[in-house]
Amino acid sequence: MVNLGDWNKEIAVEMAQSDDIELSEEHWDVINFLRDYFEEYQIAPAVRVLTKAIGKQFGKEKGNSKYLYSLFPYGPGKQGCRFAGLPKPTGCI
Amino acid sequence: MADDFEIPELPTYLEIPEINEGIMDGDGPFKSAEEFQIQLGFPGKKLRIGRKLLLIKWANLNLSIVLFKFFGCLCKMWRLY
Amino acid sequence: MDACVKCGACTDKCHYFLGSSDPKNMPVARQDLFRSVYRRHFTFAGKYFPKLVGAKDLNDEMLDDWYNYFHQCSQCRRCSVFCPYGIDTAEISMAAREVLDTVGIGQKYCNQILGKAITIGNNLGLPEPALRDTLLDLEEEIEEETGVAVKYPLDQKGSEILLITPSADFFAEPHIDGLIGYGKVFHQDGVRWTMSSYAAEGANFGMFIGSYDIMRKAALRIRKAALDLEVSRVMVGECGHAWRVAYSFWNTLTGVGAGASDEFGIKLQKQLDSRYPQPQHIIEYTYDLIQRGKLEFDKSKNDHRVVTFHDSCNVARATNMGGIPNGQFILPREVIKAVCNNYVDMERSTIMESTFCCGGGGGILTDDLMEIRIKGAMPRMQALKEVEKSNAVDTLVAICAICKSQFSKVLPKFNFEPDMIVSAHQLVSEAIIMDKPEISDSEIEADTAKIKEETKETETSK
Repeated sequence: MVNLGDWNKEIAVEMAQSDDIELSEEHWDVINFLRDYFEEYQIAPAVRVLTKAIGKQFGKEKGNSKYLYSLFPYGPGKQGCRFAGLPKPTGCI
Repeated sequence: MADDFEIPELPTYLEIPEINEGIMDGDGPFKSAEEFQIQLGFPGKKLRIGRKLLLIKWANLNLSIVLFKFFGCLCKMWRLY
Repeated sequence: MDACVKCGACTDKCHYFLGSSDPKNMPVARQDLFRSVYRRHFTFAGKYFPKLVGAKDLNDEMLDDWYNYFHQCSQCRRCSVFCPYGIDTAEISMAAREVLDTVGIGQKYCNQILGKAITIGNNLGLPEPALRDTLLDLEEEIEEETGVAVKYPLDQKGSEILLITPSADFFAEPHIDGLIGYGKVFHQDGVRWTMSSYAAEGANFGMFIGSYDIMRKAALRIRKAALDLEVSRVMVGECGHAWRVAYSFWNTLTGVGAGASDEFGIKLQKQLDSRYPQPQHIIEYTYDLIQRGKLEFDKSKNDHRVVTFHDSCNVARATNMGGIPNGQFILPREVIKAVCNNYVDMERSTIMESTFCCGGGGGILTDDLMEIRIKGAMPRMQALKEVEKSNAVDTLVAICAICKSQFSKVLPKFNFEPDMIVSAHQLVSEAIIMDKPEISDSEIEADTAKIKEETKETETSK
């Protein structure tokens, strides 16, 4: 994907299908959070920030990386950001 | 590109491997897009290798080495006399 | 270039050769890629009898080979430790990458990151609000956990210490636990410290692509930040090549240390406190506090771990710590031993000055090079396997952002736990005993009244 604006929900669904994942409500919660955060800070959130914020918004039992990994087996940062159409941050990470 | 290879087994401690000619040929990172190159002051596209340009660049790189060698020669000559 | 006698001492020292078994990954062969072209153009014999001396033209084919194989070198310099002539392959691969960049074929990973470092101020491209938000989150978390209000100041003018740490410390696991450790140590010492949003990056990829100019561009942000924030000490966080750049180059690049010749460099030199080493590594600082008995630890907090230390190549072979010979090996180990009871070293030939690289250094920590990264990590994994068998080691400590990222990706491939890799200051953070602030009774009463009110409010709103 070239432009951030090109993203829409169908694209996310399609990308998830190619990874054998069906997007549930919980997935959309995370994806929407990722996009909101990106809009505010112009960068994808760190995994720690993500887990904490998810925990705050959707209940403590969801605020851990295990839950996020169960949603996105290839990593909430990596796969989640791809579905959300955000650039993956690069650096010493 | 990154997924279709075998992860080596851990052999006994520090074994020197059999030589496998050319097994890593072609394993280079993605090339940089034009904008990132230009941002750093490099040419955006691959230049046709004008030998002169390269030589000039390289001569600059090697200048310090050449000077050092020259200095070494001077020192040697000093000893001879 | 001409000193090499092809003795072969370096061949089995390169972790990439050991892992990949490609003969072109022998350091001598890597140099030969460069040497053959140099001979063709710069020596008499090479100009007129190229075949006799193995000289080759620099053509497209050769450039491709350069591109591949000079990006299969992490510039760790293990081979040069064993070279009887002291030929530094890292220096050669840096020069080769500079030539590659000059003819317009640069590597995406390094160049993209350098662009961000030069324009935004850190490799990750974290803008100031994101940075501030992350730090606030961190403060909250620590206060919840320990009950102590550890602060992470950003851009605070007039602080004593400016901490320059790799931006991965703000972002990635397990790096961020190291950052928590720094904060706790600073808090215990009671020193006024700050980070800068303008220069929130210690790592300097200009070194990896061999360009002094770009290295300088990236480093000048640090000088500006230090001048603007009027700090008297500059400190470097846990990052391998950042410490190398700081230790060996900052003095002339930025004026941190002695030897700068330009106006601002001299100004900065005057501003910095000469009673302290400039720049100082965070490990040196913590070690010094431990020596002076300023920090107290509950070592048993780390009793569930058996720890070993991975010397990061740039720290081990290019720098020093604490001003004592071999300080770069002794200090981190002393810090670790001070905070945990179970420490073992790996096999002697794979640590200290002959340490194996993690396999991801030198600007090749990118997913499209996963194959060489995994293969290059093999020797280190072998050594780790050995101590795992003999001493049940379950924790690997590193003081380099790249090492930490690389290991957390690579460890699972070799059947280790990915969270085995931790930051040295994570151990410090877990064992440190924090002074709790004394709370007066009236404050507690006020607090409980507040909480009661809040619960009432929420109940009524429901």
